[in-house]
Amino acid sequence: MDMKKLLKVAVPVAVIGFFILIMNSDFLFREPDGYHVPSQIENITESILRSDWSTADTQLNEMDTVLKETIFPLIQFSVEKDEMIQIDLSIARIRGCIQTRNRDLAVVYLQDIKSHWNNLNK
Amino acid sequence: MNEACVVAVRGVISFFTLLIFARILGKQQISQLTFFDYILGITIGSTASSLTTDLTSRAWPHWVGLLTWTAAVLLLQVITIKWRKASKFIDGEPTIVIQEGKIMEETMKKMQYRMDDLYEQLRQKEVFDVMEVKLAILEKDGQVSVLKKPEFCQVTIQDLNLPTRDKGMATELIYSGIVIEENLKQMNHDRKWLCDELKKHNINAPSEVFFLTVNSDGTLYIDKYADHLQSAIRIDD
Repeated sequence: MDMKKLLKVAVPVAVIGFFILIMNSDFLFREPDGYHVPSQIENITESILRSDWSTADTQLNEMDTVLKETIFPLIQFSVEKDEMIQIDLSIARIRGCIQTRNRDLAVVYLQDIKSHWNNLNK
Repeated sequence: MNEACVVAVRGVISFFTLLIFARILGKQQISQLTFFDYILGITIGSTASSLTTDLTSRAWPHWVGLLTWTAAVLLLQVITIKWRKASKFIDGEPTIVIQEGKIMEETMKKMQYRMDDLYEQLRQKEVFDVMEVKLAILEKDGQVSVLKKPEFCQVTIQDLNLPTRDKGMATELIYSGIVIEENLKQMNHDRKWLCDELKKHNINAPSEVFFLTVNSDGTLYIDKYADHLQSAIRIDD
């Protein structure tokens, strides 16, 4: 096979391969610098269950910043927009729960985030 | 999340995927569009469109849909090439709509093909009187092929026993003032020959020429940038 024929096959295959990678690239960017979102959800849950509202608020803000500034911009090409919006909404609700010291509802919304996080690429 | 950015990336993905898939499917899609091919084209295009703009779902399922439809079309193409019977079943068969000058009403009814459609397609074949037609066949792609009665056929050079001159296919040598070196070489000519030929037509350089072709018998067609027309014909209203 000469070079021209090889390129005719290799270029489209490489392009298709690259597209497939982009469309499924979320697994590469879900844990930037080892930041594990489900673990952070567990940490926030524990803080809330201990009624340590100040720590819970700090942890939630930290998770919100990492999600919005690092994770979402990178995974937005390969996940559902609605799931990201739902995570964002749940964070806002939890923030409200922390302010009103509503432990039950805060835990419910944390589980909600966990579910949406798992459904991001489904 | 930047929606415009996501749409742009997904647009690039669907555009080039469609381009590659269309190349894989080959020219059959364009040159022999049956009704089914037409629907296939629309569906594949629609899926590509969703891939670009439907941000409520991931790009991947849409892309898989695109791949599935393309693979199905490719499979049908392979089947229809290998098995003639399958080809008849999938693509349909040509149907005679006029035989020995008689219109086949029953066949047309079955095909849901109207007399108006037949007349229109006959006119497109430069047949303005159905009396001229001996045989008309409705092809798989909806086109009508017509065989005229001998008395209405055009006289050919063979009928008149005239000598013929085979001109062959014209080859482009200059386009937009630029010499196409590959074609020049293919026609066993060089730049010097081209410049000599141009000088014979009072042209000093290839840049003065918009379009130039040469036949296998060496006849040139030259269109210069300067057309020197007395008055240009206007066809607009």
